[in-house]
Amino acid sequence: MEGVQILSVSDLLRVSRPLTGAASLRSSSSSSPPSKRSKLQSIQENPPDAPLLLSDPNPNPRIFSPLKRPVLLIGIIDLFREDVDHCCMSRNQCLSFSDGSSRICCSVLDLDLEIIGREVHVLAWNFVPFKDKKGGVLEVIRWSLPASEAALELAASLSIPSTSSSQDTNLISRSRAFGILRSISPVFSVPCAKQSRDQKNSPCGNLFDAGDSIGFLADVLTCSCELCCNSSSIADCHSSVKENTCHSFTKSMFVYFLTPTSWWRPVLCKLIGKLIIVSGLKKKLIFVGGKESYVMFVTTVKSVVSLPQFPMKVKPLIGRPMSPSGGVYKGVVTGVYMQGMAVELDGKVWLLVTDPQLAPQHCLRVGAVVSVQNFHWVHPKFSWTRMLLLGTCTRTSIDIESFSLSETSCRSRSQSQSLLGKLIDSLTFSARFWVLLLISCFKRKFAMIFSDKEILGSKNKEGLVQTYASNYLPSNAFQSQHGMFMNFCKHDQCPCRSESSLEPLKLAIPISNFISRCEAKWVMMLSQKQQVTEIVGRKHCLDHFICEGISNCCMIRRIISSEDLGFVLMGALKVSPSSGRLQLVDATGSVDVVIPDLLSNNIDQNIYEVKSYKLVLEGLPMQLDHWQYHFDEPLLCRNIFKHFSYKRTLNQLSVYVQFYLGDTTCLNVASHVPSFMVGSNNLKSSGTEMFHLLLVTHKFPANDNFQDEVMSDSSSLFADAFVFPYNLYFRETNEDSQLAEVMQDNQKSKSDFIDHQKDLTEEWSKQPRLVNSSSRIPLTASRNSCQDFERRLCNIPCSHSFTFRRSNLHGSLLPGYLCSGHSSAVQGLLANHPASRILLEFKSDSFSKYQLLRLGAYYILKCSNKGLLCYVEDCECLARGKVLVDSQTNLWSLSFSFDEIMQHEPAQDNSSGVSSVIVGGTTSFQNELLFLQSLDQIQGTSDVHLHLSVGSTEPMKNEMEAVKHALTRFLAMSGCILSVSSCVQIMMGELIRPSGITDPQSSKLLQGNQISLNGDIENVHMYDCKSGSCMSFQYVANGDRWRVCNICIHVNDDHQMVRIRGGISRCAYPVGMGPGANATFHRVLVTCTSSRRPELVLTPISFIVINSIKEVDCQHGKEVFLPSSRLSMLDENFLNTFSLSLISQMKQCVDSKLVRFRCRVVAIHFLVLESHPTGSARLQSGRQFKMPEVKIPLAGFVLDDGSSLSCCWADDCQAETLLRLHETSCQAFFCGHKFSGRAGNRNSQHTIGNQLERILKKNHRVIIRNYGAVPDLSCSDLTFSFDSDNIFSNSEERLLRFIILNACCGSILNVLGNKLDSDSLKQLDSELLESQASIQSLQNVWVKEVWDVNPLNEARNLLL
Amino acid sequence: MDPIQLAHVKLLTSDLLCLTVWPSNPPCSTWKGRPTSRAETVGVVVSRECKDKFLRFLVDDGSGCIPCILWLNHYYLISHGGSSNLDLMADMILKQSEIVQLGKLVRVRGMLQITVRDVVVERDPNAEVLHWLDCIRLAKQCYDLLPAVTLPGSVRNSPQDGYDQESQEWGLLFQPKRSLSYFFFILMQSLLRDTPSPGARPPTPHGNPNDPSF
Repeated sequence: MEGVQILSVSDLLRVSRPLTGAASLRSSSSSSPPSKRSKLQSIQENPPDAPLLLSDPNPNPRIFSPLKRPVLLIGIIDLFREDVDHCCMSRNQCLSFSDGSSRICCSVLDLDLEIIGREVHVLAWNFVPFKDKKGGVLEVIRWSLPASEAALELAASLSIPSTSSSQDTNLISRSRAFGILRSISPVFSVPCAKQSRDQKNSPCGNLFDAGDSIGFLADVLTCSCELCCNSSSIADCHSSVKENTCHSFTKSMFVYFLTPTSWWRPVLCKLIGKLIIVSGLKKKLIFVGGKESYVMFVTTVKSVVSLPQFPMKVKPLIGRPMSPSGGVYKGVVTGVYMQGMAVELDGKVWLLVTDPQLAPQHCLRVGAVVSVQNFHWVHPKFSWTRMLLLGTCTRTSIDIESFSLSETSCRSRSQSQSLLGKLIDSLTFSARFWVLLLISCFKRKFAMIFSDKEILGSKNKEGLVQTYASNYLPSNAFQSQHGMFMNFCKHDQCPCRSESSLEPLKLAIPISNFISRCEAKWVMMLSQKQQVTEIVGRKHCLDHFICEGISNCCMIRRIISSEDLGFVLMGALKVSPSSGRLQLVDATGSVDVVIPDLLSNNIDQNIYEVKSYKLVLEGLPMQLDHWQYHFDEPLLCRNIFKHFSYKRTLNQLSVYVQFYLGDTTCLNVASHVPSFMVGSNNLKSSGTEMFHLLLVTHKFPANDNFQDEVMSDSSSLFADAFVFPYNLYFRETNEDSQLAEVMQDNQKSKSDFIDHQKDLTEEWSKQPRLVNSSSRIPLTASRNSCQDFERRLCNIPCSHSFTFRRSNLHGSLLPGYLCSGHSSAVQGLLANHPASRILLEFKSDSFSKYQLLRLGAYYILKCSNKGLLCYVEDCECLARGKVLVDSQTNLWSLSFSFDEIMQHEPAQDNSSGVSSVIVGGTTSFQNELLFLQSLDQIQGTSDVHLHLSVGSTEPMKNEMEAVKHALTRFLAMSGCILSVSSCVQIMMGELIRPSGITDPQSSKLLQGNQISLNGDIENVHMYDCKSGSCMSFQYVANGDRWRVCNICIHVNDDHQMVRIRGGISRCAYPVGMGPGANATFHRVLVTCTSSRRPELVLTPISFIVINSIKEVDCQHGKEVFLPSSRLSMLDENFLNTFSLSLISQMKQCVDSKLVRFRCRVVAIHFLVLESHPTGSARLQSGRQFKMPEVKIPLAGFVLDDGSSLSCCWADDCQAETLLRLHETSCQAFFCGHKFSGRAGNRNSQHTIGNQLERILKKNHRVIIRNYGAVPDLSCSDLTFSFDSDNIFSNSEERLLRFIILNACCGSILNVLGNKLDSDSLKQLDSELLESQASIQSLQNVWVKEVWDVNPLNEARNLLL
Repeated sequence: MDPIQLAHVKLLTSDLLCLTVWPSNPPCSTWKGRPTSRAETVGVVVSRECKDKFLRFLVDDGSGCIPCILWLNHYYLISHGGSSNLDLMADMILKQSEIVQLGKLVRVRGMLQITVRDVVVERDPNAEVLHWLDCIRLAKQCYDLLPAVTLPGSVRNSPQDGYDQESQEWGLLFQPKRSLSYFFFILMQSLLRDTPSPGARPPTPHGNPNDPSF
């Protein structure tokens, strides 16, 4: 064997890197192993081979570096003796390999008993160093005996070395076991005290002198045939094998391999399933747990394990039905996780290694082929996934069938001693695997929040995982623990039986997996939708909502319940500084959340577990390329165990979660005691604490440059609030007093308190400097005036329900008093006091406080004034009507309750016929999610709850009534919210106001009233963006690519629809805004456009609150075409209420009266077209339905209703509708002789809209006059004039003629207008009127509104 | 001038056929003494005859059939030195002629007799009902009122006068193809049920005027 080099073990250890080598890379397997001579030769030829290893540097320790030359290892394969504890696996799995230089662990694929303790040539091998570089494992793939050794035919047997060969003739060791080795247990030790008396007195007792008895159990299936039973020696057994081939191995026999034979386990585990003969045994009766007893055969020093000399065909146990345990699973290891406790096989089956001694951990690497015997099939009840688990027990054996070359790291796991380890050991298979997943989840989720020790715990302290798991797991997830004897012997009592009674377990998955799962679900949902549409035969399912000719894709919203998802969310609540949204956060990611009952604006660092929630997915139904979106299922156990790489792929998808704070569980309850209460000394020293009561009435939206302000320390976050005319006081109390005592002393303390107040009042009255001239207390405060003041003080005890949520003080009793801070008489105060309005300014470090502040909720704010009596007007902290809220300031949410039930009924102002809306839902329907719960229902989640008890005395009752009245009144004052119908009425008031042609300058300023409006959002779309870039609608919802954008919101109720337009910043864009949402728009401006059409505008102070959302699903291929007049804001039902009239009757009408007539366009006699001043005003997203960028300052139409002709003047939208531009702009128009109808290619540049735009871009302004005779104003008498000097081409002229002709071929329309008065007529071009004498005779009408005719409705109205 | 003279009067065909022609230049018709020259009707196309220079069709509005003529001779005029702008008009009229199909509900207006000015296809079948009601409304509120100006020497004919010898022949030709009961059936059906989408309604049997059920 020329060229073969011999490596020593010390060489391998010195290099200490993964190596693989073979003695013969080319020679056939039959080639004889090298002789010693040739070996020596080769060594001489190739001096010691450090260069062989060093010349092949392996930069990557994760890859096996193959040795390119044939190498050979020569050494002795032996068992580890007890005195050598080489590695943790040495007792159970490892053999040793030594060549005199060193000794390492060793694993042999095809182990033969005859090589134990003999020198072998290792022909093919892998070497894997340990991590600590102090050793390694040699994986022997092929070996051979040296020729000299092979000649010696030694019996293939295991026996005790002859050191103890002092044959004791008295030793009764005639028993033997002959049969199939079915299973063996790991090596275990039994404390000496528990040894049976027999063992203690046994002749081999000297073997146990070390203390504990160490050994393992083996289950051997023996044959009970006569021949076997009568064979008394090994030779008989061999002969019986030879003679009788009809053995039936069915009788189970336990053999207890006691030290020193316990060393044999690494060999015996290779013999499982084979026929073995164990001789030299001693029969014993062993009691287990004092109840059960088993007949066992214990090994002695004379014990020998041998194989039959003659091969015998044994019926294999493989495939034998041993349900639910038993069987063999062979597979490739595809993942090893959690220190080898969870092993993935073939990418689908999981092997749960319950005892590290069971698995050959050195070799159990990814890529290895293993066979597992005697395991338990388990189908864990996991709610989020289905899987197959192979549970291991004391009988399980895991054997390596092929070593791995793909992974090089060796694992070693020690027996867990921590509390968590004990917990895991006490669980059933499912629960145990669940805990492993949970550990992995928690470690990933809280990587930066908690240390490993906090998560996993230690020997003495429970970690987060254990606390959570022990609370979560039901009692039947725990199983009673037995010793090794019991477990091994009672194997048939399967522990996995209890699995079936387990409730499905849910897992708190990392948020990155959750988001990825949502994306996968969304893609799956859309692809299913696509398939359905393909089946139906439609080419696409994109729905369009068309607003003013601009097409917008309709959104889809799906609400999925947590029951359907099957996992739990967990994380901390945090307000995202970038988006301003409330999020549930863990170390892997974040998800937006909506909490309807969140009232507090003080978010703590607690970890919340959310079991019950609703997931909302909303986005556009994009056409999906299945290949593009391929998701590795994020909830596979593999992806939970390993570091899951997550990259958000779907920009158009918006994911958020709604849940109630009341349904959550807080994992680590942090102290939630207000700072002013924590320091009790402080409380005592100050004596009394006073708080202002605030009712938040409005929040000014955060603008987009908020993040810049973090640096500059300035702020633009504001909120409006009313200051309640009562202040809240806390008085010093004896904390040690018992609840009952305090209750009994309540009255007393109250009187004390009044005395105290008196003192303070006197003190206060002696300080005239604090009183300004506006105060109602005279400066010359006399005793009388003070008494007068005392009399006017009202004190309302807030007894025994002043509680702080989630605090240790919950249920504690803190007497507090409401005192009127105003000096006027109580009754008068409440009736007439003007609401004191203050502005809350939030510093940039209190952004989360601002975001969580709720409109219409009460808060308490600590007063910095030390005096007891504090006027709202005079208080220092409310000076200048502004309060600065920084991170130190606490705004505690406050809820009230009274002894009797009190309904907060906002006063409805119906005097103007306008109805208000009560906002804040109480019930939710199916597929509807509440975003805001009404304040009455969420008292439990407020920071502070104040229970006002009715006093026994009559004055107290009056005061209480006064407080109630004040509460109700303040709520009513916080603003009336209108319905859409009421809003339309207000807008109609603007419309009906008589108008003619107004000064365009005056329309540049936004003027109007602010209203608050509630309604259902029908659609939201962009119509402009300051970025100037072409953005599509899909970014509206996602909001990570824009800072401010102009949106158009269509809001309706059951009857009417309005449109709200305006700019909104990303921070102010609420979660869930989109079709199907019910929203309240606070402080929206009602104004008029330049064409005097009333409209609603979002201003920089408008604030949008989403109340609820519903599921939205688009209908296939449905395009919602709405004429512009419908979209303008006014519902046709309302417009139809105007009386129908005839043009011929208009002469009798007064000028200002709006009349409606049903007419058709006969001719156009005057038309001015201009290019739109803001060219980018309309988005490109709906290119195919795009309206041309045309402005129509004035147009004159001849209309005919059958009774007469009239000359109608219109501009902008009305003129566009009368011109039918919305119909024609998407038609093609060619310059040739023929024009076609609708363009085949809608994106063509030949559409009328495009061409008209081009003309106007070139000429800026075109004026068209018609000098024909009424009514046959054909286009032959048209004249064109322009602002520019450009030449007007024929094709351009043709286009304009076509538009005019086309306008005269329309159907009937409804026109609402009023007669033009003489003043307005004068503003019209006099020349124009003079030149068209025929027009002059007609009635002049200014068109206010144009809309389509609904023949059925109008016919009905005519009959009614 | 009477304001209705320039307007397109909405009359039922039965009334249009009774109009008295006043021999003037241009010829003028009168309705109850009031001069009219243009009319508008809504009905179903029940007959169609297309020639090179014109399209002749009958519109049945339930009360009768009115003959309409749509001149298609603009191209002839162009080739004989007419205005070049006529080609646009010619294109549009040609297009209109294409939409005049049997069974279509159309709205037609033009000079009386009726020389069609434009044709619009109505998508909503209720438009016909509304037209009837508009006719009634206009008759009540406008046409039947005393004329502001009457033509000198015009004589209001009695209804029977409309059915002279010539008219009787026309009457046979222009007899309504759809019975009045059908007329009211449609009316009541339309008004008494919820708004149907135009496409959802079953096609009315307008398409075949020879159907005996008419």
